[in-house]
Amino acid sequence: METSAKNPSVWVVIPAYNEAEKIGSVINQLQAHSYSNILVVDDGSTDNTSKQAGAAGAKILSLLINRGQGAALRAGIELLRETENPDIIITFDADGQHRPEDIPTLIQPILDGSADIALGSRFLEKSDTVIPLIRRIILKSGVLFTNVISRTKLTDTHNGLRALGRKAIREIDITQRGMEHASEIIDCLVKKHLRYMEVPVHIEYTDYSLGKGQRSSAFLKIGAKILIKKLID
Amino acid sequence: MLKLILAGFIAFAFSRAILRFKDKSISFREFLFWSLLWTGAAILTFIPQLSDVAAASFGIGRGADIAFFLSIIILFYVIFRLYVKIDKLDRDITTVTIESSIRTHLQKEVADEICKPLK
Repeated sequence: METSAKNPSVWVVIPAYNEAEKIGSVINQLQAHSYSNILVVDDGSTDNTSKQAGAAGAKILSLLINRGQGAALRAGIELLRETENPDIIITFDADGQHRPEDIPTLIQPILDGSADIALGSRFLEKSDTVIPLIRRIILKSGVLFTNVISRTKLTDTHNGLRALGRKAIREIDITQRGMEHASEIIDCLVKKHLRYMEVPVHIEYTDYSLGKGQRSSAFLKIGAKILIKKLID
Repeated sequence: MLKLILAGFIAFAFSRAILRFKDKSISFREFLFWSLLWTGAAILTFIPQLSDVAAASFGIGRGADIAFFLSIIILFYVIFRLYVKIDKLDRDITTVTIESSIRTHLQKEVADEICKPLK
């Protein structure tokens, strides 16, 4: 691993938009698993997301206006790059669908130097995630699309749980402000020859997380945006 | 009469393109594009039979049809150019939002640090 520290500095970045209801418990769960370096990027929320996250003990970066999950992640990574110089950044969802228990396995490939970025996958054999049928079809279509576009053989391309090592923190450049940033990250790591590895993780589907998640039609929009970006670039 | 109205509109549109180029709102390439487009429109307005010659060379029956096809192609191109511009503006807004939010955050941290002994 590209670090001199014996105890690597690990930061968790949580992009959050109107997550006042859940954000406190998500932070508390992370803290209970000894992850105390938590940065919540409040993406222009109109509720008490910042207040709740601050009360739970996270560092807060508030975006002036709502720009989307990709922009919030970019802001979080840029701030940490500038101020904390972390060894590992974990991207974590605010709606409670990720489990802190998965983090040690996720960061292991980075700690042992076998990958620059570890991507969580709910489709690997060892993952015990039960995925609603419609969501499974949409996600699998997204995986197929991204694999064709980026020439990868990944099993899950729109999973928000990832761990970035130093090289990935430096090299990954998120320009897509919405959900399409997930495909962009995959494309970027291929272009920049970053070593990546998929790690099985569990995704907790609840009425809340499904309600907060992407609508099925949004995936068509994501695909169109990625294609147009390829055309423009 | 219709020819005069069309000519007036083309002259007005062309003058807009010249003005935009003069105040550097559009690049030379864009100016060239609009110049060719409006010149072509002016030629076809006054010598419409030319469109039949052009249509025949493309294997299309009537001059009006080639004008129709060309209009669709040009409209698609203009929409694409607009999309690219809007996309760039959107990205710029995101960059400004992020940079400004980070600067505000860092200034607040410094201010909090300075005020800490006073609290």
